[in-house]
Amino acid sequence: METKRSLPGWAKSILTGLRILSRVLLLLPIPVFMVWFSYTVDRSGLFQGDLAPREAANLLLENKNVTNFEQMDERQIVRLYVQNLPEEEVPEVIGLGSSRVLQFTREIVGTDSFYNMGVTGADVRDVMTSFYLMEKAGKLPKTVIWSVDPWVLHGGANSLDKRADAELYQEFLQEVLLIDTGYEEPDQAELWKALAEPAYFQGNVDYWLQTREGQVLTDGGAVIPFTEVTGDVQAQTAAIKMADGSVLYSADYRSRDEAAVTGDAMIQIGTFDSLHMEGFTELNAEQCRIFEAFIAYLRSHEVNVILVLSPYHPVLYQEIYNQYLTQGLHSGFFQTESWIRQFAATHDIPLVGSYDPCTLIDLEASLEVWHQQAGAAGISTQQYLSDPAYAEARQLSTVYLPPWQDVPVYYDGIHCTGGLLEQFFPGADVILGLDAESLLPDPTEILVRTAENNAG
Amino acid sequence: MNFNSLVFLGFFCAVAVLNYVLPRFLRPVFLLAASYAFYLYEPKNASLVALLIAATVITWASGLALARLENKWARRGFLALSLLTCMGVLFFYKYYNFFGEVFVGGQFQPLELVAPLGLSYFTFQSLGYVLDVFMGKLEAEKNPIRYALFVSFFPAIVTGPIEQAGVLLPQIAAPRRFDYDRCAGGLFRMLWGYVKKMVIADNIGLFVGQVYARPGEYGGPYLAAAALLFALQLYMDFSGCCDVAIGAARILGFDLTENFRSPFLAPTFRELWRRWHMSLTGWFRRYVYIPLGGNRKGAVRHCLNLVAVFLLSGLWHGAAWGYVWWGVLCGVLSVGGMLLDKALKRPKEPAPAPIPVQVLQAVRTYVIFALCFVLFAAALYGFDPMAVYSGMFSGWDAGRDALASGFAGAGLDSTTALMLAGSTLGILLGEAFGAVSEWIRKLWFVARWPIYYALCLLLLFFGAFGQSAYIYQQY
Repeated sequence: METKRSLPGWAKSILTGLRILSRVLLLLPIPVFMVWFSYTVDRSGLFQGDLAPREAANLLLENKNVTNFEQMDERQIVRLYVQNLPEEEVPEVIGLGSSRVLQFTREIVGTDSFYNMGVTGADVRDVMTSFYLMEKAGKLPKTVIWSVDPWVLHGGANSLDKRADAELYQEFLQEVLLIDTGYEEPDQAELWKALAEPAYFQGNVDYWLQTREGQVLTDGGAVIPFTEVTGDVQAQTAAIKMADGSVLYSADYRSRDEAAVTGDAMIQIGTFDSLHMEGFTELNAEQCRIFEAFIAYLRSHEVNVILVLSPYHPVLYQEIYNQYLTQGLHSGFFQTESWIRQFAATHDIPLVGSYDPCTLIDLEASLEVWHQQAGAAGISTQQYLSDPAYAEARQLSTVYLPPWQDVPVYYDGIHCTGGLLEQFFPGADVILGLDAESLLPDPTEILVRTAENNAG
Repeated sequence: MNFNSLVFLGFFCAVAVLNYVLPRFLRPVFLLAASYAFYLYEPKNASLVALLIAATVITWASGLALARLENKWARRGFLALSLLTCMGVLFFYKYYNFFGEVFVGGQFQPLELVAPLGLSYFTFQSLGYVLDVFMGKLEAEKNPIRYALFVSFFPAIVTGPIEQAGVLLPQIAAPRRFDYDRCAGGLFRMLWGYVKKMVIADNIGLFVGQVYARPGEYGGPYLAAAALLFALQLYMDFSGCCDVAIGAARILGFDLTENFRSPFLAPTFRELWRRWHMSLTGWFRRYVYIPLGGNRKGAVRHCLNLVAVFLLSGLWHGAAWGYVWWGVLCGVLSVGGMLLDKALKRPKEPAPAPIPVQVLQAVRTYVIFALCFVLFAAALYGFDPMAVYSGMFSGWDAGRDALASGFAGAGLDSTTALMLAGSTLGILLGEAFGAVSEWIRKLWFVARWPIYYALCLLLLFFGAFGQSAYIYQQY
């Protein structure tokens, strides 16, 4: 005490400051524990996402197949998957698109480092924001397989899905593609204040006590329906989300006969436009610009892009094509593939598949023929594929897949099976390799029943 | 701005730091600005701040006039002006509708009046100052800033303590230097208060509020428990708020008057009242009881004076018959106790009884006190107190399991009950040792910090956050 009294004023102040600081440090574990606990348990899903999707995403991250696909909030799961994905496990290849991309599996893509980020009913916003989430998290893949749905070039209100994250899309357009949307960064302060709320901490303690027995509950106390698939994966009675993000429909649905599938396709003729394509009469210039900007953005991050056009059922395609020819219906849809093909050719982007099932190329068989033709002409295959003099020969020698196959290759009018995908998609690395060697055919040379080629 | 809000904690931290950073002569100005900022934080107070300013200006000016004037009638005139101002505002906001309905009856059109924050406190405090100056017990304060701070000092404006000018004004005039031990003690006192309010009072309040919201739906065990717990809730709520106020003031360099002194350890009803809301009872004693003659004008006057003080105390709480009858009942019981003491010739300072006897006496006193507070609760919750008293005798035949599940359904499950019992016991024992901010600083570091941690964790795990304001805030 005497020593302290004899100290000069500034030294006393420093000593007092140190004393206060040490006491604050001693108390610090309590607020730190509170914040950590609230952030980790997060029963309202403010930071970690809602409990049910979080559980599903965590199972997927553990490389497990998950039950009850129909009940999933797929967009939340994508967000949480990206958020919780360890950096060392970032997939090299991802799939983007609607349910029409969800049959792409690791086997089809040809790598174990693949995750299918497609979501049911995906509109253009879902596709772009899914990738944007990866970029924001610093978890960029090397290759993107984008199964382009025709409605991405529609631009009308009917092309949008209400489940998409409109705010994130606006942020993406404004901050990344530099397209002004009037987006303003939301105030996150209120959200983060929850971490300092003891009441939220207490709610988390209650929830933790309820769930420590192992049962996973929602905030309301209901049992979360997502669990690891047990038993034979192929024999499940409901659709499941596979560990690679793809979807395996129920055994019953997958084993339906040709007549049932065709029946579905015929019904879907009447509802074709209702799938994000009502009022789709012309390509939207703004959407085309955004499409172009998105591809440029992917490439600026040195991400390989493979565009896929997933085929429609032959019966459905034929009928809507007839409607287009005779009544002028679906004109926007029939302009889309040509535009995408032209775009892919101009920007040298590998493109496989076709909405028109009659013009799906068996790439490997075609290459074999083109090699023979080039050999006969005494030129290299690359030369053969790029020389306009051989354009007609190339078209004649292209090997198309039969639209009417012996085995059912569709689930319904708009979803083809993985088996069909496999026939025109020889694997991501193979396609990129062929593209690097200029061994992919010019996308504009494939004769597709579109607005430009309406002679058929 | 509620004391039990993060906004207040942030505000208080900033004020405390700046208070010690500023030169001492500027501190009263700064604290006055902080007090008005605190007051104006609630929009409803912003429109009524004129009342606070008017009460301050008029009583300050009256104090100066009283100090200078020698003419008896002029002095009485200024005293009357202050009395009319303070009591007029108080009467208008708290009693206009009540007395209107009493004297005019069914034709009376009540006004929609919202009393400003701390009305009963700042009017009594400023009136006490004027009376002290009038009686020559105190020098008039010449500095309007210091006086304004005395009237509106933010830690005390919510629920008091109702401070005496002679205690607070000298402290305002001579601000203290920063003292680590004082601040640490003050912080602990605040923490102690928060635990009392948020852990005990608010958790009890869940049960009591549920029962008293519809007392007709509950049987005797619930009504009896609610009656017994309401008194505890009120104590923990009110004294908890005072702890926060006293702790906060201590950090800022001020010692406020203690408002409670372990009332539930009192052996008799009268003794309990000597330890309960001491700043208000002291105010009434100084300015009502003693001027009325106290115990110097014979036994009858003494009894009447006592009942009058309790009646006024009841009315101070609000304009409702429940408060009036509560005041009268407490007055009558005090008089009864006094007469009994006289009849039995009990000494004024009896020798301490053995501990078990003390416990029994404290329990007996508490039960009487709690039963009186049913009338108080009736005014607060708006129920018929006689129905509650009579209801306490029915419904005791329900099975143990049914009662347990009934209590759990009303918000008092076994875990909560256990936690409440443990915390209450800890708090009452802690206070039995004297001023908590004093004894905690005398403990060895190793013994002290587990107590800090225990209180923090108790608050974190069981505190009812965002639950309610303080009950006495409305008086």
